[in-house]
Parts: sequence; C-alpha cells; structure tokens
Amino acid sequence: MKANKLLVFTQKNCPNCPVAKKSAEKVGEELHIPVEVIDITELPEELEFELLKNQIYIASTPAIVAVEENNMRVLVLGDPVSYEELKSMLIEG
Amino acid sequence: MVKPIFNYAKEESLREKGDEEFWNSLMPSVRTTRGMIEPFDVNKIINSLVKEAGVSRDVASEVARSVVKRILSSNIQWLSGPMIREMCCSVLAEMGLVEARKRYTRIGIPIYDLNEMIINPLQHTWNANLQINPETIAKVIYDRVMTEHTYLTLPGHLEVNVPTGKKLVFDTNIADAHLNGDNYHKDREYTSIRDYCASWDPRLFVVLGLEPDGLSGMHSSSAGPPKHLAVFVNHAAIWLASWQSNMSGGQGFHNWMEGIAWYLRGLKREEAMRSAAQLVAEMNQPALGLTDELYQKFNQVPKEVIHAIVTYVLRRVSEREVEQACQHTPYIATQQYVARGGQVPFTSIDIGPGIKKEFMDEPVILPGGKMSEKYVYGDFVDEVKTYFIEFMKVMYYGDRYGKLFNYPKLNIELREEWMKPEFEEAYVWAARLVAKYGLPYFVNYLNWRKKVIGGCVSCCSHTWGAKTPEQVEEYLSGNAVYGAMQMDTPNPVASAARTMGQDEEAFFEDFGRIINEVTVPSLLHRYEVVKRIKRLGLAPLYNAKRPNGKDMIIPEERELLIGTIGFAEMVEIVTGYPLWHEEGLKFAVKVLKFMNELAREWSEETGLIFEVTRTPAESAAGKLARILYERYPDVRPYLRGKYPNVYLTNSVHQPVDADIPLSERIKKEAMFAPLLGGGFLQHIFLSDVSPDPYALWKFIVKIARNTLTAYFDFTLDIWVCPDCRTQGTFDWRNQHFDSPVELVEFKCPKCGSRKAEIYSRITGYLQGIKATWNDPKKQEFLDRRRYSLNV
Repeated sequence: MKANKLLVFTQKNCPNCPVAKKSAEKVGEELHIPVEVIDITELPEELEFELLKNQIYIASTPAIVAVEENNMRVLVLGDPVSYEELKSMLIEG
Repeated sequence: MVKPIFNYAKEESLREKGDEEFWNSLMPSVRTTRGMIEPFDVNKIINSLVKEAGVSRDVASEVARSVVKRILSSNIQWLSGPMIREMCCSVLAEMGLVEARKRYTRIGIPIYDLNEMIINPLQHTWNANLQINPETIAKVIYDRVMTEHTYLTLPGHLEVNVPTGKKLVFDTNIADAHLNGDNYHKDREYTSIRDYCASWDPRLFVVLGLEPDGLSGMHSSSAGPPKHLAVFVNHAAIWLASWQSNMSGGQGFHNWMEGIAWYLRGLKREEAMRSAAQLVAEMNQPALGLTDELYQKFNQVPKEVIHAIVTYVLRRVSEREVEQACQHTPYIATQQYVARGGQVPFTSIDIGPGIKKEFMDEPVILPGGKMSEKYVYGDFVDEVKTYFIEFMKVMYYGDRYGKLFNYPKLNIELREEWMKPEFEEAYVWAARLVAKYGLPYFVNYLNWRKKVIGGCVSCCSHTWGAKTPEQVEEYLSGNAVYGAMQMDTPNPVASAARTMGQDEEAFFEDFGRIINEVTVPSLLHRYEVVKRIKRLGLAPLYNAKRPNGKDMIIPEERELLIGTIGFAEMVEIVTGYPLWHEEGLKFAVKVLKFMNELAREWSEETGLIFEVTRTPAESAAGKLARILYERYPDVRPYLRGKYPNVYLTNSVHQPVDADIPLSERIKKEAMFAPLLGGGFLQHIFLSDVSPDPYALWKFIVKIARNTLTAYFDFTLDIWVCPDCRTQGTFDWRNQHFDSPVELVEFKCPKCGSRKAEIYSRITGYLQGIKATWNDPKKQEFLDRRRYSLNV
C-alpha cells in the first residue's frame, strides 16, 4: 500500500530521534512522500484519536507511522531506524 | 478538684431528696457488654460520653439526665449496655450532635438479620467468590459490621501528610458519596484494616524461606528456602495464602518461570540421555570394581535397561515430580478455604513458555540468596517449556472428574522472544484451555507494550510495569512487589445525570469535583490507614524485610487507583451517541484523558502514584445502577438490564449486548488500553462449543499484534453437574433463558439434576453463576452477545 504521508514522532532528549527524522526526510524526498514531524508532547487531540482508532499508540520515540489510504501503519516504535531500513519497510510493506 | 458531674439536682432535678446513690438505686441493674449484671451508675454514662463521643462533661451530663428521665418515666425494668447507648444516641441526635452520635453509636446487626445471615449467608453478599460454609457466615457478619464501621468512620475532615512534604486538608464526605452513588469506595469492609492487592516474585521465598506470621516464625514456624520442586510449590501456596490474610484483593506471582527454573534442573531428557550413554560406555570391569563373576552377571543385563536406569537416576527431578507439582498448584489454589472468611485465596500466576529475554543471561538466584556461578536463567529454557506444557495439560484435564480449575488465574504472557516455532506447541496448549473452558488470560507484550519491563498482572485486571531503573533492578533481582493500596471509582453516569441537558463543560466540572473532592481523599485515607497499620504493627508481614532490606509493603510505592465504570451509559447521556459511534469514542477518550490529567496532577502534588484503571465492578455495576435508577429517573432509559436488575457496563467496555462485529468490539475497546495505565481487561464472549485450538492460537496472536489490547480473555460458558459428573458448553443457538430466575432453575441437560451449576466469567475470574453471582450480573450474563469465531 502506497503511503500518502509519513508521520515522525519525536521528543526532546530522545537519542535515536534525530537519525530517525533524517532517515524519514531522506526517504520521503526520494519516494515523494510528504513527511510531518510531530513532538509527542504536543500531539494534537484529533491526531491522537485517529492513531488510537487505528490501533496505534506512541509509547516511545522515535516512532514513524505511514498514513495510507484508509489506514495507518506503524513502521517504527521506539527503535533506531536507518534510511535503508525505512525505505525497505515502505517498499516491501 | 473534680467537678461533681451529676449535679442537675441543684438545677431542675428529678431528685427532690436523697442523693445520687438514691437515684441510682431506683434504676434497674444493667446487663453490661462485659457479660455481667451491674448496678446502674450514671457516672459511667457520663464518662463514656466524654471519652467516646468527645462531648464536654456538661453536655454529657445533660444527655445522661435525659436518659435517666426516660428510664424512670417509662418504668423500664430491664436494662442493658446497648440499650442505654441507643438512648444516648437518640438524645445526641435530638440535640443535633450528629458527629458525636456517629462516634458514640453501636455498630450491630438486628437479630432478625443475623438469623437470616446464619441460615442463608449468600443472600447477604454480592461477593461471587464466597461459597457456603461456617466461615462464610462469619465473613458475612464481619463484612456487615466493618462496612458500617467504614461508613461511620470515613473522615469528613481529612489531613494527610504526603511524601512531597505537604499537608493536604480535605473536608469531604466519602461515606455519603459512596451511599449516594457518586463514588464507589471498594472494599469497604477492609478499608480500616488492610492493604489491597499484590504481585510477588517467588524468588522472595526462594531467598527468604517462609515465615507466614511476619514475626520471624515465633507464632507459626520458620521454614528455610525450598530445596526441591515440591517444597517450592508448597511455599508458593502458603506465601499467597498468608498474604491474602493481610490484604483484601488478589495475590499473584510474576516471574514464576524464573522462580521455578532452577527446581526443574536435570529435567532435560536429552542431556540425561547423553550422560547415561557416556556412563554406560564407561562401565568396564575396572571402573565398576566388580569380580569376574559379578561382572559377567552384570554384563547379561541389556545395555538399554542400564541406560534407562542411569538416565532416571541422573535426572534430579523426574517428569513425574514435575507433573505432580503442576497438579499440586491448582488443587491448592482451589481447595484451601483459608482466606478471608472461608474463601480460597484469589490467586494468579503470570506464566510463559520460556525465560524472559531480560533474564537469559542473569545468574540464577539460588535458595538462600546466593548467586549461582554455574547457571544463568537461560540454561532452563527447555525445562520451563516442558513445565509450561505439563501445567497446561493439568489445567486442561481438570480435576478428578474433569471439572475446570478456576484458580490460580493463569495469565499467559505473549512476548516476542517466544513467538517462534519452538514455542508454538506450548502456546497451542494454552489455546486448548481456551477452547475447552475459556480459562486463561493473555497478557500482551507484542504491541505498544513490547518495551514494558517488569510487566505483571494482579487481581482482576490491574497491570504493572517497572518504571524506574531502581524498579527494573528490583524486578531482575527478585525484590519487586507490585500492587495497589486502594481503588475508588468516580461514577461518571451520576455526573452525566446531574448535568443532563447542559454542555460538556458542566459534566467535566461535576466529574472533576467528585474525583478531586471524594475519590482522591478516599484513596489518601487508605494510604493513611496502611501507614497506621505499619506503624502499629497490626500486619507484621508488611514490615518483614525483602532480600534487599526494604519492607515488604511500602505505602509510598503502592498505587492508588482511580477506577472506571459506566462509560457506555455516560457517553450516551452526554453526547447522544453510543460508545461504538465515532462521537461516543471521542468523548470517552476525552474523559479518560481528563482522568489521567487529574491522576498526573495528584501524583505530582502528593508524590504518590495515582493511575486510572478498569474497575472489576462485580458489585459496583449493579449497586451504582440501582442508586442511579432511584436518584435520577431521567437516566433510567440509559441503564442496562431490567429493574431491579439494572446494571452499568463495566469500565470503558462496549455494552455487552451491543450489536457490533467482534473485530469492531475488540478494537473499539482496545483503543482505550493505553489510557488505562492501571490496567484494562477485555472479554471476548464465545458462543462456539469447541473452537479449533490451532486456529484459535493464530487468532490470539492476531489480536495481540494488530490491536492496542493489553490484557484479554475468551469467555466460554460451561455447565457442570455434580450428580452425573458430566459437563459441557452451551450452544447458544439453541439455549435461551428469559430471566435470572430461569437461570437459577437450570437443570443438568443429561440427568436433570437441579444441582448443575453454570460457570462463566463474572468480571476477572470464573465462578458459579447460580450459587454466587448477584442478580444484576446474572442479568448481564443473559444480555451478553456471544461470538462465533468460526475457527
């Protein structure tokens, strides 16, 4: 399923967040997928509800969620992720 | 000089001549509570009023004067201590001294009620874990008295010194809020004397041994650390039973597999076989030191036989011993009527088919506390898997007649490290237990909870995790004690009823007021109680030491739980939408976040741990609904069931009768799990007679991976007949009950016996419906929508 958008959740003092953010931005640019970076401590209410409805809870950062047609999919939750790994997750599903 | 206390003669006295003694002499003798008949002495009334009711001597004299007048003018010939006290209370109430009356009143039970309790105790309790026996009668009577004591003594004015150094002051009325149905104060009968629930590491007794009195064995005896498997199991049972005597809620074990692993050493058949083969190969004459004649005879014994004998001897623990240990566990859990007035302890075990990843390289803690230089926990993966399967088999085959074991509650842990083919057989055995009895519970660490360390479950639904490095260290080293001190449940339906027709803000204002002014002080009151218990040494086990030197119970480490109930009804009243509708879900999330925010603020304010949780509500669901029905006629259409058996939906669950597909139900409940940090159990009510265990296992994994659920179960409804010793599951396509009364009249489908019982999950445990469920819960059972898995 093609991702329409990548949501990258970060927070201050998160050691793996900068790398995850860079990986997402690079993959987004390459695959023409918009990337939105969100500080988890300032999560908008509507988005939080959408995530919960899609059975997603950002318990730890970095987290990357692919927004697909009628669906949201967790790609990363609390683990470091490289550009290659993320790209493969998006391409191979 | 002591002021004369009986001096009303100088004012408008009844006494025209003679003295105090004269008037005393006119009064009948008094049958005292000390079991004696004594002459009337008015000074005793006055002194006792001053001491117990806390009134001044002048007021006490005035009350006593009125009482004497009443006795003399009514020509009462028979007096008892309780009678005089009743008269004093009546006078205090007439004088408007309500608080003094509450302090002075006698708590008791009308003789009619007491006779009823003795003859039919189960009609006087909503606790489904009680069954009939003489101790149960004692508990029912105790419950009545202590509940009344709680209502009378819950402070209206509360001052609490909290760990942040602040002194918090509340003026509230917790008892009235409970009686009005605004806040459900759980375990009222135990509020004044016990802590609530706990999950223990079995390595506590592996290191410490067993002194169940908490008095170094001076009252009981002191048992050393267990050296063998059977003793381990026995210690475990006594540990939970003794703690149950000190707490009101469930008692469980986490790290069970890590605790038992060393006791299973040598169970590895392969290793034993290899060692035996080596020994057999080396059995030459010089090595054995036998004469030619004996060695010739020895050589005639087939090598296979010698091999088998040696293998058997080499195994330090035999498969039979393991089987017996497994059998021992549920029998102890279901047969020891030693807890809380003749109940079996409410026990649970968190169990998985392997060793948890964080323990794989940890050295084994040996009996007595020494760290093993030879073994790490990872050395016992095969043994614990074998044990797990054996345990599942024991639970699967049930008791001697094949009846299910409803305790210990088995919390099957789903962890990534065990999601491998080599563990599938073990997990499928757990699925068999689901298919046959709906027995186990699944604790999910495969989703957003995958990073939870120190996770465990206690009581009906509460889940915990190690949150600080110190807690992780305690968890790994066998020193962790998890649990809660108290749970209070603010009733959102009452707030919704009070603010019906107004905007959401009015609801939040009302609900917030209940939480801040009743729920929180009520929880803090229990904190004060537990501190007092420890200070006075009323529960010596609380002050016993863990291996790391900390007290077993540390009030500041215990959680204070804010419960949830009736969200389905509340949401519908406030928004006009059912809970499964998008608008309903949104509002429920908003309310949960509101509760979490208050919990966070109070944690910060006090330095204590407040969490939001699912309320088990085996009693609260019916009791609160009845109060709402009476108090707020406008909410009647929103209540579930039929009066008088109305009930609220548990926690944030979808209504049991909601006509929604199973996948939708699971997801629309699971989405709340992350917002219930204190724990949330979901039920899946099954209509299938016997689902395929392999397909069921795949379904369990699917739920665990694809939803936010934290803890879930599958509930099957089983009938069991004690007369013809048969049992079966209900085929709900062909089974129908119209009312709770009809349910109670259920007869065995095989032999027609009226003694046949129906077992189902009332909330977080399985129990017989006919004998023990309260009527609103029976009604809920009838309303449940059950699903076919088609697997």
